[in-house]
Amino acid sequence: MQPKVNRQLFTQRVFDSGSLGVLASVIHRFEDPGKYDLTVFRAGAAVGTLSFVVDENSDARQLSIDLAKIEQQSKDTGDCCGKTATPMVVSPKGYVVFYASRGAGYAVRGGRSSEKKPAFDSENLGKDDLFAVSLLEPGIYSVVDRIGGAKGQVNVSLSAEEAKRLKSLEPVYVEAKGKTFEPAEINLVSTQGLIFRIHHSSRIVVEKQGPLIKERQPAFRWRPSRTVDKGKAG
Amino acid sequence: MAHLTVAANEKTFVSLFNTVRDNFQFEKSDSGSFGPFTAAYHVKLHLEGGSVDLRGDNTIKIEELDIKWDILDLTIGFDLPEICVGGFCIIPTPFGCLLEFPKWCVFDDNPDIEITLPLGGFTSEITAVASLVIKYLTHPERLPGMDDWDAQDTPASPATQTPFVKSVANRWQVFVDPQTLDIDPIDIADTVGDLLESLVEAAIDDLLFFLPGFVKDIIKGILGSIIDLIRVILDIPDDIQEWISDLLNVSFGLLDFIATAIADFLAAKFPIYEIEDPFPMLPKADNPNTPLPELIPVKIPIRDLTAFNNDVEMIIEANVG
Repeated sequence: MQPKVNRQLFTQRVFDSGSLGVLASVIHRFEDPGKYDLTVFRAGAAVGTLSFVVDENSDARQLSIDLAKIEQQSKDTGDCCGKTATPMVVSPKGYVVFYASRGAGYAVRGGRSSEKKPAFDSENLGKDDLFAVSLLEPGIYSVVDRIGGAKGQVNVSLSAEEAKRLKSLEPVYVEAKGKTFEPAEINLVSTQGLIFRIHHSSRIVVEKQGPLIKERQPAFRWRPSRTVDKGKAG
Repeated sequence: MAHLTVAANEKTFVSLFNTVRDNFQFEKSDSGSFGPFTAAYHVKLHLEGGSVDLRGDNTIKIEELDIKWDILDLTIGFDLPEICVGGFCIIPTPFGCLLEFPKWCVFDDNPDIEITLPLGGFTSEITAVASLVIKYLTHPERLPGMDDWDAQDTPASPATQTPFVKSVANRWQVFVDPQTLDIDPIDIADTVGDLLESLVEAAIDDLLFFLPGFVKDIIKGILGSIIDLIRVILDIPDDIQEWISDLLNVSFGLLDFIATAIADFLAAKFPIYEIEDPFPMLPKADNPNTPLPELIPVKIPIRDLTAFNNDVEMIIEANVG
């Protein structure tokens, strides 16, 4: 029996930093040491919590947290909003990567246990946060910052030649400056990384609009010209 | 001096040998696991041609005896490597990647690929030096207590019949026993690498047929060159042709099986000649003194049978009584 295909990878059309699905992640650096408690939301409802420790003595430079897994663990323990497994650890110089291995609509918010104000809210990214996506389906994508108002466009292509280079593609960076994206139009090859560096309060939404212009079928076609033999016509 | 002598000249001997040759068939399947891949083969072959030379030193030289590989199918199975997207570096540093994008894999488990290479249709050659050997057979289908006349009248099953004695009677058998037997290594066509590549590509296309075009392109782009993929997965160091040849000859020991099967067939399974024992001198006959019962066959025991050859004929000698 052949293994199942993760079809969501190929049907994802919207990549929203405030509502995470597959192929997207938000990254934040928690610089103040301490224990952090965050709540995971999906479609606005709390579905789990997680804890981690920012420890000055830790060498860990990356802590990757799967929000879908947190939700699942919470379901398995029967505790929607209680504490989950062993706290994770990361260095204050490291980064926490929030992503969803499956599903859609995930957000995360929280901060240090001792503080009421959340240190991080994925629905409202702050300065130095990152929003990274990988767009697979060729086409034209709109890019909108729903908080700052910036607009842009991403063109994703996949030619036969480009397909041979997939493993060597470097990501492309965009500066999200609230009212503008720099650059505002980006050309990518399918699967190539797209990383937004956040400068102002932002919520970035990338959404597929349609195929690339050259892929569109013409509305009409010219028929080859014919020579009519007037002697035989009629 | 022997009571009984039978001689067959070289031409007759060759004719007898050709009968033995034409009755040989070999068919075998086997499989094994070799770490990152599994392999199985199915082989079917027969013998043709060859020259047979009786020599003055009581040996027989067999040359250019063809093995016709009617079927040689090699099936190779392996898992495709993980096919994942993402995993790119978000924050590179001169010392390596500081921050990596997560990975999402296309399949929830690595898909199996299985391809069958049809390698048959070629010919190998055997060279052998043999000598004649004698055996005595009590037919396995002869019932205990059955007398020699009943045995003579009871046909053997088709699978155990020989051209010489078709009943379950006891008999002396003369075999050609190879002392040395050399077989050419299995000759794999040098186009096998191209064939392997095209079969793997077709198998991957079959696996992905239901996916949108751009998805197939992405997956193939991730997998990269098919031939490089095959080399990595199957750990093929250099020459694919040589690798397949080693897989069959060495890992499976296929040539050893075949050589043993041929040697065993010649030396113990299919005799070049047989003499029924006791030998039927006269068939049964109507009794001239009716109404007395018919006359039973006259049979005479054969003993001390020997067989040897010189450069012109095979000679069988025995004593009777």
